[in-house]
Amino acid sequence: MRKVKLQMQMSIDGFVAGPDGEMDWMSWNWGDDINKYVADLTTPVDTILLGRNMAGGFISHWKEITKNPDDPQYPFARIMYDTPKVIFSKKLSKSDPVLKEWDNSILVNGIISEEIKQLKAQPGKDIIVYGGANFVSNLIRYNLIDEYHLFINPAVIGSGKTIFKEREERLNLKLIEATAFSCGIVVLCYHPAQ
Amino acid sequence: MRKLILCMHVSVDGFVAGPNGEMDWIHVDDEIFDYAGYMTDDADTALYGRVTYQMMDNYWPTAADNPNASKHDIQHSTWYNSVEKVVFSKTLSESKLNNIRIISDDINDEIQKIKNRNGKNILMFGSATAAHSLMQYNLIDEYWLFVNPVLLGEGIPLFKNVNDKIALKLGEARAFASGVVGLNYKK
Repeated sequence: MRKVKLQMQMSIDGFVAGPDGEMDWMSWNWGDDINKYVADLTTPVDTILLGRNMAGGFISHWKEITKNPDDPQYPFARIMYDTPKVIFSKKLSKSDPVLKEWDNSILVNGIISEEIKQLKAQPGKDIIVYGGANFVSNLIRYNLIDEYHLFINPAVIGSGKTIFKEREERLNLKLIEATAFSCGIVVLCYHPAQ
Repeated sequence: MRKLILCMHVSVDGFVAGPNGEMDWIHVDDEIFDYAGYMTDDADTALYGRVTYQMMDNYWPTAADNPNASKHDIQHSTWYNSVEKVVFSKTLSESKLNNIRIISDDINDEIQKIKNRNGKNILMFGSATAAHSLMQYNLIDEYWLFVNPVLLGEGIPLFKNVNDKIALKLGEARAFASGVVGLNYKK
């Protein structure tokens, strides 16, 4: 069965963004080593799963870059833009006009665990989740992530948004791999323990 | 100047204990103890909060005398008995205690003084509340975090009173066979 993979930037103190969504604490001096890690993570993916809050910004950001084939990010932007997206929202109806702005996307608005189950039951390659924080919090709450890739940035930010606070019970994980990269990021890869 | 190094077990979601102080999720074994052995070799001072100190002091002074003492028990007990112990407390008094220095106030000044003295590193094991006091003044020079493969959901956070963002340098990351990952960060 296809996997749901989470790729998330985090500070050492476990925040995924500052209180107002700040991202200035992240390391962006990425070397070939971490670029390759992300490429390996993305290659077996044919679906991007996003929460409603992140969808608009994510799609328009990558769409903008695809307009300039000379941009160094163009090849990756092309993948991000072209890959079919599933947007989760409980509040939106399938006829909401905002959906027209979300290229290559479909909306799902049912019970989160049921929607993920159905998505995984369809044939296809892996599904990747990039956020936002609230949506990911709910996925973790219901243990719907099959593979965690936590990108631990070498900074302590003191306060901000987290993805773990909805979890009501302990969740034991199994370490798959810990990889340190030249930019100072360590990626911790876990599966839920069986 | 010698360094103040904090050694801490944490969950993936950044807690050092559950909401009621639970620590049953912390995994230690010989591989990790051996690793910690390198750190004690480079340190001649231990720093504790009052609660952790009393827990430590109930066990380590005589841990080597136990007939079933492990190699690690003997090593750490010897180290514990030989180092100066600095304890944050408003209730303990220095006179009755052996090789102990009590800090009850002026944490920033007192720690700076100790750091400025000659000697090896100052090592801090556990002691979340004391660590939070140190963070307020950005006094921790190095972190050794042992990340246990669990999400606790709630509990006592490792980081608190962090007023400004702290950019750190990654020293090393090491995965242990148990699934614990040791992360070393420096100021």
